[in-house]
This record gives sequence, C-alpha cells and structure tokens, in this order.
Amino acid sequence: MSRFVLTAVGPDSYGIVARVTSALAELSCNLADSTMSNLSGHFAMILVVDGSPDIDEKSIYNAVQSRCAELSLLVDVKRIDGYVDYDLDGDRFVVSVYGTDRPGIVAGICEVLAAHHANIYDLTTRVIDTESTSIYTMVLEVALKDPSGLAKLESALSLKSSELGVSCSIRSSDSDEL
Amino acid sequence: MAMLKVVEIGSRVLSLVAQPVDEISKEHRRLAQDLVETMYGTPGSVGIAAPQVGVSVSLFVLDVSGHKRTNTCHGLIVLFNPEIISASEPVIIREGCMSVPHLTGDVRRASQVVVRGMGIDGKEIIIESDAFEARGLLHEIDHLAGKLFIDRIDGPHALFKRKRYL
Repeated sequence: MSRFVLTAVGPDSYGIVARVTSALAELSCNLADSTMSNLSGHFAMILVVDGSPDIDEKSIYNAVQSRCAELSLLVDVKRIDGYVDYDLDGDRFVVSVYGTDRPGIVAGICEVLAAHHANIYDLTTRVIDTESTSIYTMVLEVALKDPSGLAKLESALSLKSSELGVSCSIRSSDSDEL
Repeated sequence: MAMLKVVEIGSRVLSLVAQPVDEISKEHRRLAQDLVETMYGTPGSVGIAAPQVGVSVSLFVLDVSGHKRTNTCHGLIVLFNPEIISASEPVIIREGCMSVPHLTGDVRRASQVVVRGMGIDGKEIIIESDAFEARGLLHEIDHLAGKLFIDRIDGPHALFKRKRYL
C-alpha cells in the first residue's frame, strides 16, 4: 500500500469533487481522509489517498488532470509516510475569536496556544464585512493534555486578545457518550 | 417610538457585561419601547437586547409568536436584569443574529429554561419556557453578558457564511 496526499484548488464550479474522486476511483485508490471547502470562491481539497504499491505520484496527478483539464485546478500529489502515530489524547476545548480584522490574529492566538501545549485539531476562519469594517472570526478545537493548565491558558488568551483588540472565549467541548 | 440602528460584531459594546437596572426610569421605558419597535420593524427578528443598539443596559425584548419552532409562548417579553434559574440539557440548533449578519452557527443551548427578571412595571417576573422561546431567552441573556453565539459555537465546522441577515 502506498499513501499520498493530494491537494487540488481551483475556481469553484459544479463537479470538482465528482471528477477528482472518479479519477482516483478508476485507479482503485481509497480516500483515507479528506477536508474540502469553498475558500473565498476557490474550492480547496486535501485528500489522503491510499493506492496499490505500483501507483506513483505521477500516475495519480495525470489521472486527475486528464479528468479535470478545463477546471483550472492546481493539483499536487506527494507520497507520504504510511501511518503516522498521532495523539488524540487530552481534554477538548473550543476557542472562539472575533474582532476587527488585522494581520497577526491567528499568529498571536496560536502562539499562546502552542506555548501552553494546546494542540490544535481543527481551525476555521471567516472574514465578514460589516457596514463599517471587516471582522475576522476564528473557531478552533484544541486538546489540552493537562487540563489543570486551563486557568493559565485562559488568562494568557485574555491578555493576548486585549492586545490584538479581539474577543476570545474558551469552553469545554464535552461530548455525550451514548 | 423609534427604530434604532443595530450595531454589528466588532462593536465593543457587544463584548461588555450590561449594567443592571436598579429602578426603571422614563428613559428605560422609552428604550424598551424602541427595542420593541426595532424588533417588530426588522423582518425575521424575534428579539433584541439593549447592547445591540449600543446601550449597555441589562434589558431585552423577545416575541416568538407564530414562529414554526415555538412551543410555549409568552407573547411579548420585556425583561430587565434577567438571570437563568435553571436550564435543561442542551440541544444543538443553528442560529443567527442581527448583530452578526453574515454568519450562522450551530449552537448548544438548553431546550427548557426558567428565567427570572424584572418587568417594565418593576415587578419580578419568572418565565418558564421551552423550545424556540427558551433559545431566544438564552440568546438575549448572552448579549447582556457580552457574549455572541460565536462564543457558544459547537466547533470549527459549526460556523457558516450566509449572504446577509434574512
């Protein structure tokens, strides 16, 4: 088994997912993981793809490009390590950040999270234009291995968000076990 | 009475804890009337809190009459200094806000609540409600604590763009 990461980005239109995934299916590739989203009018896909050992980056690239010739997709395929042992441990928290757009909001908040060993699992940002200004919103899901550090993290986030002029809140994302 | 301008996300007043009201003055009554007019005058709006018109006072108005998700309905609610007495287990529902016109989000809120506050006549009111009215009460009470629905969002994949508020 060979594992690849495939990224494809292009102006949004009907059929991008259908064509890219059809090309992969024809190569008998399996989609192990993916995230796909419309980013400011560009459809962006990141796929982790498993294929048979005789498949290489070039054959995947060519298959996708021949299916998607007229879609103006930027496609990239890279072979990656088979199976990475990743850590899902820790208590989960959701962090919400919003305020007037300026450079450095993501960097500032994420530096604080990194310094407190809060591991980011997922992050979404949206810019919205109100009547008077552009507002940046960011929602993250993070894991804290040592939840006793939460109070320190909260006060560091509060300090950093005042400095950046944004609102920031953090709360537990408990799941209900059924 | 007057339609008031609704302030949007990014305004500092939306992040402040609203000032409690000791005694209801003529100005408070006028503000309440203007909030009611602004709510009824905005298509789709079922509630508005004072900070949403730039006034950091602990007051909101709510009327979920006729909404498809409404079960228990108290008609027009005008409440000063509201506090949550009890709240049930939360459910996730997508909601929007006049002050966050371009986004909606999946938010966890209790589906049954008991809320206490002061009515326009200065007397204590206790409201027990459920479904859409409970959600509205909690959404407006959040505004008075300086919180938007984005502060309650269920996760990074629970925030959605839309063209404009209704």
